[in-house]
This record gives sequence, structure tokens and C-alpha cells, in this order.
Amino acid sequence: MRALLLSLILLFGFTASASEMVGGVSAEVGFGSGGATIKNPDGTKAGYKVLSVEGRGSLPVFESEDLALSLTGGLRYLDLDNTANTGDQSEMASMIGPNAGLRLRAFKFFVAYEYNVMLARHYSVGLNSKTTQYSLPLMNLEAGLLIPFKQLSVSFSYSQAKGNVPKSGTGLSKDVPYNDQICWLQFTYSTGASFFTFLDYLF
Amino acid sequence: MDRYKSLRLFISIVSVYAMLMFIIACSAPSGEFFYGALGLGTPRLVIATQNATGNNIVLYDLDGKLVDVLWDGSAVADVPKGLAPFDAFNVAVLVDGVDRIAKVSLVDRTVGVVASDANLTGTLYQMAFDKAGERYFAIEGNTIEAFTKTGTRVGVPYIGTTLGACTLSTPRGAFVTADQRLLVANGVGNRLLIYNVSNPAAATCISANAGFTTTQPFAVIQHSDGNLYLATNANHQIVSLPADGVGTPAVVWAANIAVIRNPTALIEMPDGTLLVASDQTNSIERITTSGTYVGSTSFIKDVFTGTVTQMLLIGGE
Repeated sequence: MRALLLSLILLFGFTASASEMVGGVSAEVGFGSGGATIKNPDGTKAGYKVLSVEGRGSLPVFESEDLALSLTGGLRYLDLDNTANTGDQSEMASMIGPNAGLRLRAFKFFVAYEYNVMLARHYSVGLNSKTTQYSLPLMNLEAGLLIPFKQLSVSFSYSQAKGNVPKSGTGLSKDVPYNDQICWLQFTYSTGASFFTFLDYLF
Repeated sequence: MDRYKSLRLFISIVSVYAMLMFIIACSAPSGEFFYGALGLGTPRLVIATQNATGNNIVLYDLDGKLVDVLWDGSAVADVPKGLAPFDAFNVAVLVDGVDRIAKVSLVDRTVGVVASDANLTGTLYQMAFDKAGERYFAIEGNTIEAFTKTGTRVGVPYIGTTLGACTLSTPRGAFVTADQRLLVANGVGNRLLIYNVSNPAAATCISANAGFTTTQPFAVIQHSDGNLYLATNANHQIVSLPADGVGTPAVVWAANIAVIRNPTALIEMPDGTLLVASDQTNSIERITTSGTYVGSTSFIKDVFTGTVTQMLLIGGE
């Protein structure tokens, strides 16, 4: 996944100009891979392999050829698999939740800041079986490169999210920090229509 | 215009480099299990028992409700005499019978061996763990054996019957302070013995407090308030001493044999109250450090609390 992303960046990073971007209201689907950690109260860390998928809509607030500011909202799903898993004991988690935020594009590069509320379910399977559920608010920062092909754009980005797993959901004596780092491959379809024009299309 | 294109090119190169670094950062890290997912972080009280009906290690929540029986040593006449922390997934147990330091898994209840030595053969009592030095101190007869976490015996034994002014005589209770002093409740010897165990090669005797006359201290702890608290088995009291263990013991809990009779073990709860294992009432009672009884009935009184050999708090880090 990482090698593919790197190759695509090197191949297409300089080939398209910002003027090829259509802009307007857009919809995006992304696929990601990365890692996550949860810090145990004694300082040790649980490490996870993460696979993720997300859908996102974007409403432009300001847009020019080289600069754009958009409001974003969407849904993110994360699948976590503990890297310490053995044949006797496994631990995995799934998280799903909505997000909302802002995205700033300059030329072909963008940064985004989003607030996620993930509903997490942790499964311990094997000799010790247990299900744990909790709500996990996350602050997500993302930066990436957007390669436009008229209405369809491909982007590669890196996101880092941080939050605290609440003690109320785990029985631990305190909240413990969670963070993830995910590399994304995203496909964006831009309608070229402003928000109000887009509404006209719909209704 | 050329400068504008150069700027865009520069930004592109920097960004691609940054993306490369980010992609490298997207690897999955190795680590442990998440304690919260396995339920291991929840604070629990572990007690070791020696009863006619069974020798068990039993898990309770901090309200005194039974959670699980971790281990049953009855079938092979193994008696769990001492308890100490091992790691987030196991509890160390000093086993009298086939003498050894075992570890009992909190995940799957399996029993493993931490230390098994031909010299660990006498009658065993409580065990203490030196967190700073990562060593277990096990009372064996009138000596104290020491073992590393990997099971290596330290000393021959680490503390013999007589060391300076300290003479072990039917010791029962042990506790290691944060500053690496080993406190020994010297049972029928009627003393509090304090050793310096900071040197892995050899211990030294710091003091031997003879102020217990014939009251037989069976258990000792250092409380988070700094003071030492001892349970005196023969006269059914809880007494305290300052941190250095010197002076006349002050009575915290005066004898009331309807509540506490022949106490055998002590532990401090997270809120600072004391749990006292009371042998002849077959119960665990809760009192404050000023001697006030907490609650209206026994903290725990069930089929397991006949004779409690040692108590340990786990989780809740």
C-alpha cells in the first residue's frame, strides 16, 4: 500500500496543474492503512495495524484557482488488529463515527482539521474473552497532495488522530491516550457547482 | 511568472518529501495487549487462603464482591502463603507444598513457575516484592530467601536467622518499602525487624523493635501516610509506628474479638483505609488509620476468608 502510494505520488505529483481542478461541491471516498497505539496505564503500549475507509462531502466556502477553503463532513471506519495477537489470544477493535471539519487547499496541496466521534468496540478473543465499548472523540489532522483529472481527483494524504480512551468504558483508573497514523488514497468527484447551485440540481 | 513557477516547484518537492516521511510513519507499531480490552486494568483485591475446605487464590472487586477463583491448590496440597505483583497478566504466588514461587495468569488462570530451588524447602509464609531491585523476598522458616524475577536465587540464603541485631524467630509478614527496606513482622519473636535490602549482594539489619512484648506481629505494611501499621496476632490489635519503625507501637484498633480476632494479613486500600484479615472471625474487616470501623458488617465474609495468608491489590495503575 505504501509503495503504491509513493509510486503514484512520484508519477503524478508534477503532471497536473491546479487549473485542471473543477472545484465546487464534492464527494470523496478514501482507503487507508496505518498504525495505532493505545498507551496502557503502566506506560506500555498496545500497537495495532489499521485498515480504514471513509466517505466525505465537501462544501466550498471560498474557492479560487490556487486556494480553496471548504467545510467537510463524513463518516470514518477503522479496523484495528493488535500486533501482539497470538493463536491463543487476540484483540481487535472496530471504530465508526462521523466527523466534521475544515479543509484548506493551496495549489495541489491541502491540510484538513476534523473532529471525529468514534464509537469503538473492542473485542478480546481467546483464553480471555471480553467486549468493551466506548465513545472516543478524536482530533484529526490531515495533509496531502491532490492530483486533479478534471472532475475526478486522486489524492494521497497522511492523517494523525489523537484522543483519550475514557476510563468509564474500560474499567481503568484513568483515561489513556489513543493515536493513529494513517496513509490515505482518496478519490474525489467534484461537481463544479456551488452549494446553492448544487441544491438547485437536487431539488 | 518564472519565480511563481519556481515557488510551486519548490513547494511540490518539499511536499513530496514530507509525504514520503509520512508514509514511512504509517507503519503498524508492535506492543502489548490493551489492558482495558482484556479487563486487566480494573483494580482487584487478590487474597490467598489456607482453609480446611480448600487452598485458594480468590479475586474480589474493591467493594468486596467475589469476582473469580483464580487458583485451587487443594488437590495437590499446595498452599498459597504469599502474594506479590508479577506483571499486568500474572500474580506471583509463594506456594508451600511443592515449594516454589509460581505465577498465576489473570488471563487464562494457568499456573507457571517463577522460581523453584532445592533450597526453598522449609515452611513458607508471606512474600514481598522489591520493585526497585526487582526481587522477591520469601519467608522460609527462620530465614528469608530472595529470588530475581527470572527465578535466580540471591544469597545462601539472602538473610540468615541472625544478621546483626535482627534475629528471625517464626517470622510471618513481610513488606518492602519504596526506599528498599524490608519490614519483617517477626511473629512469635515479637519484634519488627527492618533490613536494608538495597544491596543485592547482602542485606544489613537496620533495627529490631522489641516494643511488641508478647503480642506477635503477623503482618506489616507501610501506609501511604508514611507510617508503619502492624497486625498483632496474639492480642488482636492493629498498631502503628513512625516510618523508621522506632518507638513504642501506638494502638490504632484496640482488641474487639467480635470483629477482629487473630489478624493474619493487612493491606492498604486505594482510599487509605486498611483491610485486616481476621482469622478467628473468618472475615476481612475494614478500618481507617484512626481506628474507625468502616461499614456495618464485614468487608468480606465468605467460604474463602477462613484463614487469609496474604492480600494483594492489582490493576488500577
